[in-house]
Amino acid sequence: MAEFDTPRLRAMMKDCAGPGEHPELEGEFIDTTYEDLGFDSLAVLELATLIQQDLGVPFPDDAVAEMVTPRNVLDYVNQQIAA
Amino acid sequence: MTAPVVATGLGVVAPNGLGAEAFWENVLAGKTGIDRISRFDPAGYDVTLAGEIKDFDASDYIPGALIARTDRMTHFALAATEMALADACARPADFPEYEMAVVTANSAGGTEFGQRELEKLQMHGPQHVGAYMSIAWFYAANTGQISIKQKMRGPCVMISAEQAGGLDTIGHARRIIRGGALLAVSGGTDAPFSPAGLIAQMTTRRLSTGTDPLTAYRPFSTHPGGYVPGEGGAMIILEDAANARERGARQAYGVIAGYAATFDPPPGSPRPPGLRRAIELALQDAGIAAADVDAVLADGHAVPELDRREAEAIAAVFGPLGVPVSVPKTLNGRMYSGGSSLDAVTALLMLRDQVIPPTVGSSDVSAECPVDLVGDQARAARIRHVVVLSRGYGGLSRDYSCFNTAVVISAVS
Repeated sequence: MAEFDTPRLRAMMKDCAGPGEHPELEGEFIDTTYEDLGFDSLAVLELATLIQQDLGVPFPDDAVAEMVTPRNVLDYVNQQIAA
Repeated sequence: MTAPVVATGLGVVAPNGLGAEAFWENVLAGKTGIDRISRFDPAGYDVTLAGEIKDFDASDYIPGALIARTDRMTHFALAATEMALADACARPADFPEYEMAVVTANSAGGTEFGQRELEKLQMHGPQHVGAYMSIAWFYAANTGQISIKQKMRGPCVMISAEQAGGLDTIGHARRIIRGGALLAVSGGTDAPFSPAGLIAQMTTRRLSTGTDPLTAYRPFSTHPGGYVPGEGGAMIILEDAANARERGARQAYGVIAGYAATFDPPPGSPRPPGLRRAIELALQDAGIAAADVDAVLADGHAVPELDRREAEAIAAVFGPLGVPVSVPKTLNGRMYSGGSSLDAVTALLMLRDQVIPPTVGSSDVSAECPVDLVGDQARAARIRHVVVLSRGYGGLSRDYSCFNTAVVISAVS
Protein backbone atom coordinates (compact mmCIF):
# COMPACT_ATOMS: atom_id res chain seq x y z
CA MET A 1 0.00 0.00 0.00
CA ALA A 2 1.24 3.51 -0.80
CA GLU A 3 2.38 5.75 2.02
CA PHE A 4 -0.41 7.59 3.78
CA ASP A 5 0.46 11.20 3.02
CA THR A 6 -0.66 14.64 4.15
CA PRO A 7 -2.95 15.42 1.20
CA ARG A 8 -4.83 12.14 1.78
CA LEU A 9 -5.13 12.87 5.48
CA ARG A 10 -6.28 16.41 4.76
CA ALA A 11 -9.03 15.12 2.46
CA MET A 12 -10.24 12.65 5.08
CA MET A 13 -10.18 15.27 7.82
CA LYS A 14 -12.24 17.59 5.64
CA ASP A 15 -14.79 14.79 5.24
CA CYS A 16 -15.00 14.45 9.00
CA ALA A 17 -15.19 18.18 9.58
CA GLY A 18 -18.47 18.31 7.68
CA PRO A 19 -19.69 20.53 4.87
CA GLY A 20 -18.38 24.05 4.29
CA GLU A 21 -14.96 25.66 4.05
CA HIS A 22 -12.14 24.56 6.32
CA PRO A 23 -9.39 27.20 6.17
CA GLU A 24 -7.74 25.72 9.25
CA LEU A 25 -6.87 22.62 7.19
CA GLU A 26 -5.07 24.51 4.45
CA GLY A 27 -1.35 25.27 4.77
CA GLU A 28 0.56 23.90 7.76
CA PHE A 29 -1.74 21.97 10.03
CA ILE A 30 -0.18 18.60 10.79
CA ASP A 31 1.48 19.75 14.02
CA THR A 32 -1.53 21.72 15.27
CA THR A 33 -3.42 19.80 17.94
CA TYR A 34 -6.81 18.39 17.02
CA GLU A 35 -8.23 20.48 19.82
CA ASP A 36 -6.93 23.67 18.19
CA LEU A 37 -8.24 22.48 14.83
CA GLY A 38 -11.76 22.20 16.30
CA PHE A 39 -11.83 18.40 16.22
CA ASP A 40 -13.46 17.10 19.39
CA SER A 41 -12.93 13.51 20.56
CA LEU A 42 -15.85 12.25 18.48
CA ALA A 43 -14.47 13.87 15.32
CA VAL A 44 -11.13 12.12 15.86
CA LEU A 45 -13.01 8.87 16.39
CA GLU A 46 -14.88 9.47 13.10
CA LEU A 47 -11.53 9.96 11.36
CA ALA A 48 -10.17 6.73 12.84
CA THR A 49 -13.29 4.88 11.69
CA LEU A 50 -12.93 6.29 8.17
CA ILE A 51 -9.25 5.26 8.01
CA GLN A 52 -10.20 1.82 9.21
CA GLN A 53 -12.95 1.49 6.56
CA ASP A 54 -11.07 3.00 3.61
CA LEU A 55 -7.55 1.71 4.24
CA GLY A 56 -8.29 -1.44 6.22
CA VAL A 57 -5.88 -0.22 8.90
CA PRO A 58 -6.92 -1.34 12.40
CA PHE A 59 -7.46 1.65 14.69
CA PRO A 60 -8.50 0.48 18.18
CA ASP A 61 -9.78 2.93 20.80
CA ASP A 62 -6.56 3.04 22.81
CA ALA A 63 -4.65 4.04 19.66
CA VAL A 64 -7.24 6.74 18.95
CA ALA A 65 -6.67 8.12 22.44
CA GLU A 66 -2.99 8.80 21.57
CA MET A 67 -3.80 10.95 18.52
CA VAL A 68 -3.10 14.52 19.62
CA THR A 69 -2.02 15.96 16.25
CA PRO A 70 -2.52 14.97 12.59
CA ARG A 71 1.18 14.03 12.49
CA ASN A 72 0.44 11.37 15.14
CA VAL A 73 -2.16 9.92 12.75
CA LEU A 74 0.23 9.97 9.77
CA ASP A 75 2.92 8.21 11.80
CA TYR A 76 0.53 5.64 13.24
CA VAL A 77 -1.06 4.72 9.91
CA ASN A 78 2.28 4.48 8.10
CA GLN A 79 3.64 2.27 10.88
CA GLN A 80 0.62 -0.03 10.48
CA ILE A 81 1.04 -0.15 6.71
CA ALA A 82 4.72 -0.97 7.00
CA ALA A 83 4.06 -3.79 9.49
CA MET B 1 -40.87 32.84 46.29
CA THR B 2 -43.58 34.50 44.22
CA ALA B 3 -41.69 36.96 41.99
CA PRO B 4 -43.38 36.96 38.58
CA VAL B 5 -41.52 35.11 35.86
CA VAL B 6 -42.28 36.41 32.39
CA ALA B 7 -41.76 35.28 28.81
CA THR B 8 -39.63 37.83 26.96
CA GLY B 9 -38.85 36.09 23.67
CA LEU B 10 -40.46 33.52 21.39
CA GLY B 11 -38.98 31.24 18.74
CA VAL B 12 -41.18 29.00 16.61
CA VAL B 13 -40.52 26.27 14.05
CA ALA B 14 -44.00 25.11 13.00
CA PRO B 15 -45.40 23.27 9.98
CA ASN B 16 -47.60 26.28 9.24
CA GLY B 17 -45.00 28.94 9.89
CA LEU B 18 -41.35 29.63 10.64
CA GLY B 19 -41.08 32.34 13.29
CA ALA B 20 -43.72 33.35 15.82
CA GLU B 21 -45.40 35.99 13.68
CA ALA B 22 -45.72 33.83 10.52
CA PHE B 23 -47.04 30.97 12.64
CA TRP B 24 -49.58 33.15 14.45
CA GLU B 25 -50.84 34.81 11.29
CA ASN B 26 -51.48 31.40 9.73
CA VAL B 27 -53.11 30.05 12.88
CA LEU B 28 -55.58 32.93 13.04
CA ALA B 29 -56.33 32.45 9.33
CA GLY B 30 -56.92 28.73 9.86
CA LYS B 31 -54.10 27.85 7.46
CA THR B 32 -52.92 24.27 7.82
CA GLY B 33 -49.37 22.94 7.74
CA ILE B 34 -50.56 19.34 7.40
CA ASP B 35 -49.97 17.53 4.13
CA ARG B 36 -48.99 14.15 2.75
CA ILE B 37 -45.71 12.96 4.27
CA SER B 38 -42.84 13.92 1.98
CA ARG B 39 -39.67 13.03 3.89
CA PHE B 40 -40.10 9.49 2.58
CA ASP B 41 -42.80 7.82 0.50
CA PRO B 42 -45.67 6.87 2.83
CA ALA B 43 -47.31 4.51 0.34
CA GLY B 44 -47.85 1.26 2.15
CA TYR B 45 -48.23 2.92 5.55
CA ASP B 46 -51.69 3.41 7.06
CA VAL B 47 -50.65 6.87 8.20
CA THR B 48 -49.91 9.19 5.29
CA LEU B 49 -50.45 12.69 6.70
CA ALA B 50 -48.18 14.74 8.93
CA GLY B 51 -47.36 18.31 9.87
CA GLU B 52 -43.89 18.62 8.38
CA ILE B 53 -41.66 21.69 8.58
CA LYS B 54 -41.29 23.20 5.13
CA ASP B 55 -38.67 25.54 3.70
CA PHE B 56 -36.44 25.18 6.72
CA ASP B 57 -32.76 25.70 5.98
CA ALA B 58 -30.72 24.77 9.03
CA SER B 59 -27.72 26.63 7.63
CA ASP B 60 -29.59 29.89 8.26
CA TYR B 61 -28.99 29.25 11.95
CA ILE B 62 -26.18 26.70 12.35
CA PRO B 63 -22.69 26.09 10.84
CA GLY B 64 -22.40 23.13 8.41
CA ALA B 65 -20.22 20.97 10.66
CA LEU B 66 -22.76 21.14 13.46
CA ILE B 67 -25.63 20.36 11.08
CA ALA B 68 -23.91 17.13 9.99
CA ARG B 69 -23.36 16.02 13.60
CA THR B 70 -26.85 16.62 14.93
CA ASP B 71 -30.35 15.44 14.21
CA ARG B 72 -33.19 17.51 12.76
CA MET B 73 -34.75 17.85 16.23
CA THR B 74 -31.58 19.68 17.30
CA HIS B 75 -31.59 21.88 14.21
CA PHE B 76 -35.11 22.96 15.18
CA ALA B 77 -34.09 23.52 18.80
CA LEU B 78 -31.04 25.61 17.86
CA ALA B 79 -33.00 27.66 15.35
CA ALA B 80 -35.92 28.32 17.71
CA THR B 81 -33.47 29.36 20.43
CA GLU B 82 -31.76 31.86 18.11
CA MET B 83 -35.14 33.31 17.18
CA ALA B 84 -36.27 33.54 20.80
CA LEU B 85 -33.07 35.23 21.98
CA ALA B 86 -33.28 37.73 19.13
CA ASP B 87 -36.93 38.43 19.99
CA ALA B 88 -36.00 38.95 23.63
CA CYS B 89 -33.10 41.21 22.59
CA ALA B 90 -30.98 39.06 24.90
CA ARG B 91 -27.37 38.39 24.00
CA PRO B 92 -25.90 35.56 26.06
CA ALA B 93 -22.52 37.33 26.07
CA ASP B 94 -24.13 40.05 28.20
CA PHE B 95 -25.10 37.62 30.98
CA PRO B 96 -22.83 35.79 33.45
CA GLU B 97 -22.44 32.31 31.95
CA TYR B 98 -23.55 30.39 35.06
CA GLU B 99 -26.74 32.44 35.35
CA MET B 100 -28.28 31.16 32.14
CA ALA B 101 -30.27 27.90 32.17
CA VAL B 102 -31.46 25.59 29.40
CA VAL B 103 -34.51 23.37 29.98
CA THR B 104 -35.79 21.45 26.97
CA ALA B 105 -38.12 18.56 26.31
CA ASN B 106 -38.04 15.89 23.65
CA SER B 107 -39.81 12.61 23.14
CA ALA B 108 -38.67 10.86 19.94
CA GLY B 109 -34.94 11.40 20.06
CA GLY B 110 -32.80 11.86 16.96
CA THR B 111 -34.99 9.79 14.68
CA GLU B 112 -33.60 10.56 11.22
CA PHE B 113 -29.97 10.47 12.31
CA GLY B 114 -30.73 7.18 14.05
CA GLN B 115 -32.46 5.77 10.98
CA ARG B 116 -29.41 6.48 8.79
CA GLU B 117 -26.96 4.99 11.25
CA LEU B 118 -29.12 1.94 11.93
CA GLU B 119 -29.33 1.31 8.19
CA LYS B 120 -25.53 1.47 7.98
CA LEU B 121 -25.28 -0.88 10.93
CA GLN B 122 -27.60 -3.42 9.39
CA MET B 123 -26.30 -3.22 5.85
CA HIS B 124 -22.58 -2.75 6.44
CA GLY B 125 -21.80 -3.61 10.04
CA PRO B 126 -20.91 -1.84 13.28
CA GLN B 127 -17.67 -0.31 11.97
CA HIS B 128 -19.75 1.87 9.67
CA VAL B 129 -21.79 3.55 12.38
CA GLY B 130 -20.59 7.13 12.83
CA ALA B 131 -19.18 8.29 16.14
CA TYR B 132 -21.70 11.13 16.41
CA MET B 133 -24.57 8.67 16.66
CA SER B 134 -23.52 8.37 20.30
CA ILE B 135 -24.84 11.86 21.03
CA ALA B 136 -27.06 12.83 18.12
CA TRP B 137 -29.94 10.47 18.88
CA PHE B 138 -30.10 11.20 22.59
CA TYR B 139 -33.01 13.34 23.89
CA ALA B 140 -30.71 15.58 25.87
CA ALA B 141 -28.76 16.57 22.75
CA ASN B 142 -31.02 19.59 22.35
CA THR B 143 -30.25 20.97 25.80
CA GLY B 144 -26.59 20.11 25.40
CA GLN B 145 -26.10 21.69 22.00
CA ILE B 146 -28.01 24.86 22.97
CA SER B 147 -25.90 25.14 26.10
CA ILE B 148 -22.66 24.69 24.14
CA LYS B 149 -23.56 27.00 21.29
CA GLN B 150 -24.91 29.79 23.48
CA LYS B 151 -22.34 29.24 26.26
CA MET B 152 -25.09 28.91 28.86
CA ARG B 153 -23.47 27.12 31.79
CA GLY B 154 -26.22 27.36 34.41
CA PRO B 155 -28.66 24.55 35.23
CA CYS B 156 -29.20 22.37 32.15
CA VAL B 157 -32.14 20.01 32.18
CA MET B 158 -33.91 17.68 29.78
CA ILE B 159 -37.46 16.47 30.42
CA SER B 160 -39.00 13.45 28.74
CA ALA B 161 -42.77 13.26 29.32
CA GLU B 162 -43.94 12.92 25.73
CA GLN B 163 -46.16 15.87 24.85
CA ALA B 164 -46.50 17.06 28.46
CA GLY B 165 -42.75 17.65 28.57
CA GLY B 166 -42.94 20.91 26.66
CA LEU B 167 -45.08 22.48 29.38
CA ASP B 168 -43.00 20.87 32.12
CA THR B 169 -39.95 22.75 30.85
CA ILE B 170 -41.79 26.02 31.46
CA GLY B 171 -42.67 25.07 35.03
CA HIS B 172 -39.16 23.87 35.70
CA ALA B 173 -37.49 26.90 34.10
CA ARG B 174 -39.73 29.14 36.22
CA ARG B 175 -38.47 27.37 39.33
CA ILE B 176 -34.86 27.91 38.20
CA ILE B 177 -35.46 31.63 37.60
CA ARG B 178 -37.06 31.96 41.03
CA GLY B 179 -33.95 30.28 42.36
CA GLY B 180 -31.88 33.18 41.03
CA ALA B 181 -30.93 32.40 37.44
CA LEU B 182 -31.10 35.45 35.17
CA LEU B 183 -32.36 33.82 31.99
CA ALA B 184 -33.73 30.46 30.93
CA VAL B 185 -34.35 28.93 27.53
CA SER B 186 -37.39 26.65 27.83
CA GLY B 187 -39.41 24.61 25.37
CA GLY B 188 -39.29 21.52 23.22
CA THR B 189 -38.79 20.28 19.70
CA ASP B 190 -39.40 16.90 18.13
CA ALA B 191 -38.64 15.50 14.67
CA PRO B 192 -40.09 11.99 14.63
CA PHE B 193 -40.41 11.37 10.89
CA SER B 194 -38.33 8.61 9.49
CA PRO B 195 -39.81 5.26 8.38
CA ALA B 196 -38.85 3.63 11.68
CA GLY B 197 -39.97 6.72 13.58
CA LEU B 198 -43.42 6.62 12.01
CA ILE B 199 -43.81 2.91 12.75
CA ALA B 200 -42.90 3.56 16.38
CA GLN B 201 -45.64 6.18 16.62
CA MET B 202 -48.14 3.90 14.92
CA THR B 203 -47.76 1.26 17.64
CA THR B 204 -49.76 3.50 19.97
CA ARG B 205 -52.76 3.06 17.63
CA ARG B 206 -53.61 6.71 18.24
CA LEU B 207 -52.64 8.11 14.84
CA SER B 208 -55.16 9.19 12.25
CA THR B 209 -55.32 7.27 8.97
CA GLY B 210 -57.30 10.13 7.41
CA THR B 211 -56.26 11.54 4.05
CA ASP B 212 -57.82 15.02 4.13
CA PRO B 213 -55.51 17.49 5.93
CA LEU B 214 -58.45 19.62 7.04
CA THR B 215 -60.49 16.87 8.70
CA ALA B 216 -58.11 14.03 9.58
CA TYR B 217 -57.48 15.44 13.06
CA ARG B 218 -60.76 16.36 14.75
CA PRO B 219 -60.60 16.33 18.56
CA PHE B 220 -63.84 16.25 20.59
CA SER B 221 -65.87 15.38 17.49
CA THR B 222 -68.39 12.55 17.33
CA HIS B 223 -66.01 10.23 15.46
CA PRO B 224 -62.47 11.34 16.21
CA GLY B 225 -60.08 9.17 14.26
CA GLY B 226 -56.87 9.79 16.17
CA TYR B 227 -54.35 12.57 15.74
CA VAL B 228 -52.13 13.62 12.86
CA PRO B 229 -48.51 13.74 14.04
CA GLY B 230 -46.34 16.81 13.58
CA GLU B 231 -42.74 17.96 13.96
CA GLY B 232 -41.10 21.18 15.13
CA GLY B 233 -41.61 23.14 18.31
CA ALA B 234 -40.89 26.34 20.15
CA MET B 235 -38.46 27.95 22.56
CA ILE B 236 -39.46 30.61 25.08
CA ILE B 237 -37.06 32.89 26.98
CA LEU B 238 -38.06 33.26 30.62
CA GLU B 239 -36.77 35.91 33.00
CA ASP B 240 -37.64 37.47 36.31
CA ALA B 241 -39.97 40.40 35.51
CA ALA B 242 -37.89 42.97 37.40
CA ASN B 243 -34.61 41.84 35.83
CA ALA B 244 -36.17 41.91 32.38
CA ARG B 245 -37.38 45.48 32.89
CA GLU B 246 -34.03 46.57 34.26
CA ARG B 247 -32.03 45.30 31.28
CA GLY B 248 -34.49 46.86 28.83
CA ALA B 249 -36.16 43.73 27.44
CA ARG B 250 -38.29 44.67 24.47
CA GLN B 251 -41.45 43.03 25.79
CA ALA B 252 -42.94 40.71 28.36
CA TYR B 253 -45.59 38.64 26.60
CA GLY B 254 -47.09 37.21 29.77
CA VAL B 255 -46.54 35.73 33.21
CA ILE B 256 -46.07 32.03 33.91
CA ALA B 257 -48.59 32.25 36.73
CA GLY B 258 -49.32 28.62 37.54
CA TYR B 259 -47.94 25.17 36.88
CA ALA B 260 -48.81 21.65 37.98
CA ALA B 261 -48.05 18.13 36.79
CA THR B 262 -49.72 14.89 37.80
CA PHE B 263 -49.51 11.24 36.83
CA ASP B 264 -52.51 9.11 35.96
CA PRO B 265 -53.08 6.09 38.20
CA PRO B 266 -52.45 2.73 36.51
CA PRO B 267 -55.23 1.14 34.42
CA GLY B 268 -57.68 -0.69 36.71
CA SER B 269 -57.09 1.66 39.64
CA PRO B 270 -60.17 3.10 41.36
CA ARG B 271 -58.49 6.53 41.45
CA PRO B 272 -59.55 9.03 38.80
CA PRO B 273 -57.29 10.26 35.96
CA GLY B 274 -54.99 13.09 37.02
CA LEU B 275 -55.83 15.88 34.55
CA ARG B 276 -58.49 17.50 36.71
CA ARG B 277 -56.14 17.68 39.67
CA ALA B 278 -53.41 19.17 37.48
CA ILE B 279 -55.79 21.95 36.40
CA GLU B 280 -56.93 22.63 39.98
CA LEU B 281 -53.39 22.70 41.33
CA ALA B 282 -52.24 25.02 38.56
CA LEU B 283 -55.10 27.44 39.30
CA GLN B 284 -54.23 27.29 42.99
CA ASP B 285 -50.59 27.98 42.16
CA ALA B 286 -51.67 30.99 40.09
CA GLY B 287 -53.94 32.22 42.88
CA ILE B 288 -56.94 32.49 40.58
CA ALA B 289 -60.40 30.94 40.44
CA ALA B 290 -61.81 28.88 37.59
CA ALA B 291 -64.14 31.78 36.76
CA ASP B 292 -61.09 33.99 36.09
CA VAL B 293 -59.94 31.84 33.19
CA ASP B 294 -60.81 33.21 29.75
CA ALA B 295 -59.76 30.32 27.53
CA VAL B 296 -58.37 26.81 27.62
CA LEU B 297 -56.00 25.38 25.03
CA ALA B 298 -56.80 21.70 25.28
CA ASP B 299 -54.59 18.70 24.73
CA GLY B 300 -57.04 17.43 22.10
CA HIS B 301 -55.94 13.86 21.51
CA ALA B 302 -58.82 12.93 19.16
CA VAL B 303 -58.97 9.44 20.68
CA PRO B 304 -62.56 8.89 21.97
CA GLU B 305 -61.77 7.83 25.53
CA LEU B 306 -59.07 10.46 25.96
CA ASP B 307 -61.31 13.22 24.55
CA ARG B 308 -64.06 12.17 26.92
CA ARG B 309 -61.73 12.26 29.89
CA GLU B 310 -60.33 15.64 28.98
CA ALA B 311 -63.80 17.13 28.45
CA GLU B 312 -64.84 15.66 31.79
CA ALA B 313 -61.88 17.23 33.58
CA ILE B 314 -62.48 20.64 31.98
CA ALA B 315 -66.22 20.48 32.79
CA ALA B 316 -65.50 19.43 36.37
CA VAL B 317 -63.33 22.51 36.94
CA PHE B 318 -65.03 25.14 34.78
CA GLY B 319 -68.58 23.75 34.49
CA PRO B 320 -70.02 22.20 31.30
CA LEU B 321 -69.48 24.65 28.42
CA GLY B 322 -68.05 26.88 31.10
CA VAL B 323 -65.02 28.27 29.26
CA PRO B 324 -64.05 28.65 25.57
CA VAL B 325 -61.80 25.78 24.52
CA SER B 326 -59.61 25.61 21.44
CA VAL B 327 -57.20 23.10 19.89
CA PRO B 328 -55.21 25.11 17.34
CA LYS B 329 -52.86 22.14 16.97
CA THR B 330 -55.22 20.61 14.39
CA LEU B 331 -53.43 22.92 11.93
CA ASN B 332 -50.00 21.50 12.69
CA GLY B 333 -50.58 18.04 14.04
CA ARG B 334 -49.67 16.82 17.45
CA MET B 335 -46.03 17.85 17.65
CA TYR B 336 -45.10 15.91 20.80
CA SER B 337 -42.89 17.93 23.11
CA GLY B 338 -42.85 20.69 20.51
CA GLY B 339 -46.63 20.85 20.53
CA SER B 340 -47.14 21.86 24.13
CA SER B 341 -44.40 24.49 23.89
CA LEU B 342 -46.11 25.82 20.78
CA ASP B 343 -49.39 25.95 22.72
CA ALA B 344 -47.65 28.03 25.39
CA VAL B 345 -46.46 30.45 22.68
CA THR B 346 -50.03 30.52 21.37
CA ALA B 347 -51.34 31.44 24.84
CA LEU B 348 -48.83 34.30 25.08
CA LEU B 349 -49.88 35.66 21.69
CA MET B 350 -53.55 35.32 22.69
CA LEU B 351 -52.80 37.66 25.58
CA ARG B 352 -51.06 40.12 23.31
CA ASP B 353 -53.75 40.20 20.63
CA GLN B 354 -56.87 39.41 22.70
CA VAL B 355 -58.11 36.64 20.42
CA ILE B 356 -58.76 32.89 20.71
CA PRO B 357 -57.42 30.88 17.74
CA PRO B 358 -59.72 28.52 15.84
CA THR B 359 -60.07 24.75 16.00
CA VAL B 360 -60.27 23.65 12.38
CA GLY B 361 -61.86 20.31 11.50
CA SER B 362 -63.99 19.40 14.54
CA SER B 363 -67.29 20.67 13.25
CA ASP B 364 -69.52 18.16 15.02
CA VAL B 365 -68.70 18.28 18.73
CA SER B 366 -69.63 15.06 20.50
CA ALA B 367 -72.41 15.13 23.08
CA GLU B 368 -70.06 13.21 25.36
CA CYS B 369 -67.67 16.17 25.34
CA PRO B 370 -69.46 19.21 26.81
CA VAL B 371 -66.82 21.74 25.77
CA ASP B 372 -67.43 25.15 24.23
CA LEU B 373 -65.16 24.47 21.27
CA VAL B 374 -64.29 27.64 19.39
CA GLY B 375 -64.86 26.34 15.87
CA ASP B 376 -63.09 27.26 12.67
CA GLN B 377 -63.08 31.03 13.10
CA ALA B 378 -60.85 32.91 15.53
CA ARG B 379 -62.85 34.52 18.34
CA ALA B 380 -62.02 38.00 19.69
CA ALA B 381 -62.31 38.05 23.47
CA ARG B 382 -61.04 39.73 26.59
CA ILE B 383 -58.15 37.52 27.67
CA ARG B 384 -56.30 37.84 30.98
CA HIS B 385 -55.70 34.20 31.92
CA VAL B 386 -55.22 31.18 29.64
CA VAL B 387 -54.92 27.58 30.81
CA VAL B 388 -52.81 25.31 28.61
CA LEU B 389 -53.20 21.54 28.96
CA SER B 390 -50.99 18.73 27.79
CA ARG B 391 -50.97 14.99 28.27
CA GLY B 392 -48.13 12.62 27.55
CA TYR B 393 -48.34 9.01 26.44
CA GLY B 394 -46.89 6.68 29.03
CA GLY B 395 -46.81 3.47 27.03
CA LEU B 396 -49.34 1.32 28.86
CA SER B 397 -52.40 1.36 26.67
CA ARG B 398 -54.16 3.30 23.95
CA ASP B 399 -56.75 4.75 26.34
CA TYR B 400 -54.43 5.65 29.12
CA SER B 401 -52.36 8.79 29.31
CA CYS B 402 -49.85 8.91 32.16
CA PHE B 403 -48.48 12.47 32.20
CA ASN B 404 -50.78 15.48 32.74
CA THR B 405 -49.53 19.03 32.85
CA ALA B 406 -51.42 22.30 33.22
CA VAL B 407 -49.96 25.78 32.96
CA VAL B 408 -51.69 29.10 33.67
CA ILE B 409 -50.37 31.96 31.54
CA SER B 410 -51.56 35.41 32.55
CA ALA B 411 -51.38 38.98 31.34
CA VAL B 412 -48.59 41.13 32.77
CA SER B 413 -50.16 43.53 35.24
